[in-house]
Amino acid sequence: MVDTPISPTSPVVTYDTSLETEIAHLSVIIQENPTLNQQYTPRWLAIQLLESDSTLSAELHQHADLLQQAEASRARIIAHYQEEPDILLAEQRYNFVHQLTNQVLTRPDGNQLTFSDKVDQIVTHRYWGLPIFLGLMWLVFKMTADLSAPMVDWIDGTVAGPITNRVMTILAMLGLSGSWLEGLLVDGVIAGVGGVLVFVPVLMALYLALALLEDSGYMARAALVMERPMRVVGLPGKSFLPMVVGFGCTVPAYYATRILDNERDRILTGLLAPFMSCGARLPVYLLFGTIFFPENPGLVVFGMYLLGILIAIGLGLGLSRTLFAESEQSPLIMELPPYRLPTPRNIWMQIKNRTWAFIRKAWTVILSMSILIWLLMAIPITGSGSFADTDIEDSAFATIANIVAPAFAPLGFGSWEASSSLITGFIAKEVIISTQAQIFAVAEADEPFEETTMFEDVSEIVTSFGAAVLDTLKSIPLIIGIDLLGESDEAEPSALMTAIRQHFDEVSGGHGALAALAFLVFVLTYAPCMVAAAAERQELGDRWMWFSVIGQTGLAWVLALFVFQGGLLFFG
Amino acid sequence: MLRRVLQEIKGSTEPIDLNQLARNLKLERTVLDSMIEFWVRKGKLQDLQLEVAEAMACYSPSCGGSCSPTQCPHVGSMPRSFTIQLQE
Repeated sequence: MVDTPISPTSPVVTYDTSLETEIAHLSVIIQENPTLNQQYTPRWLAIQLLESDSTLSAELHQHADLLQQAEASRARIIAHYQEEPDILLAEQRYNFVHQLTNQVLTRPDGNQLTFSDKVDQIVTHRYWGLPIFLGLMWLVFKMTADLSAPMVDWIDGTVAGPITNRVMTILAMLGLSGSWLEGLLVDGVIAGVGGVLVFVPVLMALYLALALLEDSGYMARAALVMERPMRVVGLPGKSFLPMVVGFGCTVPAYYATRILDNERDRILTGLLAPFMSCGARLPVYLLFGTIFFPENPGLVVFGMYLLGILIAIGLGLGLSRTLFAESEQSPLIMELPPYRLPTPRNIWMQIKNRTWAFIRKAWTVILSMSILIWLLMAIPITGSGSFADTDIEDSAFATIANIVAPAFAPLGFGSWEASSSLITGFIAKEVIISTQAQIFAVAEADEPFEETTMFEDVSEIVTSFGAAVLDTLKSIPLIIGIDLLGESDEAEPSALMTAIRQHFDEVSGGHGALAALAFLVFVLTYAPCMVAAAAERQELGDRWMWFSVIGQTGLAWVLALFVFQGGLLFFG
Repeated sequence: MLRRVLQEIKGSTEPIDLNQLARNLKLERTVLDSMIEFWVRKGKLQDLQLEVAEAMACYSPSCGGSCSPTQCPHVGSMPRSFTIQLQE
């Protein structure tokens, strides 16, 4: 209902008297100038000048007198109101609009809660919000582990079977069978890059689960829930943004610390961000979880992510009460979108973009590292072997790794095989997997090569793919605990998995699972990868980068020691 | 009304949802959005999603060479959030 008709010709917004006086003063000057009077509405131009419209001021640079008068008017307004004119003018326009809409609009009960509001009262609750968030994350990792397993087995079987066979067959046709080139391609490139690409379905399943949560609107609520622990640690709420980015990749997390207002918050957030498990660590968690805890690999992955958060909270509490004094807190305002059904297109785009970033890394960093590691494994240092024909134990790679291996003995994995992958993991965390895949592939290189035809290889890929799709569909009910996969459908552990299991059992004196858990805690905690360290140096400086690299590695050693030796005490 | 929005945000000790803030102030959500935009332009509020994207502009591998917050896989899905701009 409109109570008072408004004439379209009258000025609809009337400002305070003092403001109107200055507007009128400038309007008169504008009206007296024929050029300006013809080009602009005087009142409009006067208001724009009071609001310091930079574009208009630039256009009117020839009218220095008018600009001077406008500046004088602004100064008088500031002196009178102790506030900038543009804020006062905008404020009064908003008041006018608010009053007008109140007159003409009839709203339903403004306090009526929507469906989203009702759900939010539960999922963002001060006490229940965090357990709900953790429960959903556990479900995400369970879904990741359960759904991806058949496709992981399919890619593993395809890489180790038909693809390797095809490459070896072609090399045999070229008379290069048994040559160093065969070693480089099969034991270097295929074993290394293939060993990591096997985990693409894992990441796709994770990104699917996260995309479902994001597109449904829940993730915004999760960010709200995550904001509270930041405050407990003594960080401003907005520190949650670099932390959340850190779950994807630690490198952009360091850059994201730039949004923080002061050096103290930037450094503290930067020191804690690496404890958020990045996507590159996920394959390591899942591989070891599947090998040593086949009943609950999802729980192992979830446990590692949770442990990272808890370590960050503990360290944050310690650091903010010692090295870093408390800083000013700034309140956070968030857009919580209404809950909605996720759309397939959005979900696919998110999965595609994130998976592509991982694959691109596999073809660049991991490929280069696989070749370098193969070269180091091909060069003999001891023994009587020659280039590319040496016992791996005598290689340069094993010799270098053997120097640091004893340091890991108290942690249960004091072998050159395990320690070398931690060294190469400093280049990129995915390389931990590719290194182990290469080491154990070379160790098993003596296995006979079964020659197959192209047709046999293609048929195997297609039939095994069909079986993997079927098993993936059968895996869906596993998320809610219904097992449609019979024991016969469950995949046998791959050669790599068996080799890792045997190796950890041997090197830890029969406590392979404990040593694997200590290994995972070390991987979670030790120095961030090389690129992340470079980003940290750029953002926080040399001192903090070294503090982080050395401090995290020291902490990793202590925590892994605690896990292995403590585990021996309890379960030994 | 405009300054009350800023005061309400400054006085809050808990994170605030924009819808809740609009209800508290009996404002249309679209009006509140434009007020928030005003304070971002004035430098009193920080648009965090935008600033994270800008901070990562030089980090191409993660964002596919783009600084757009909607294209960076690690930032695009962030909730839109704002905070009071503190002085260094």
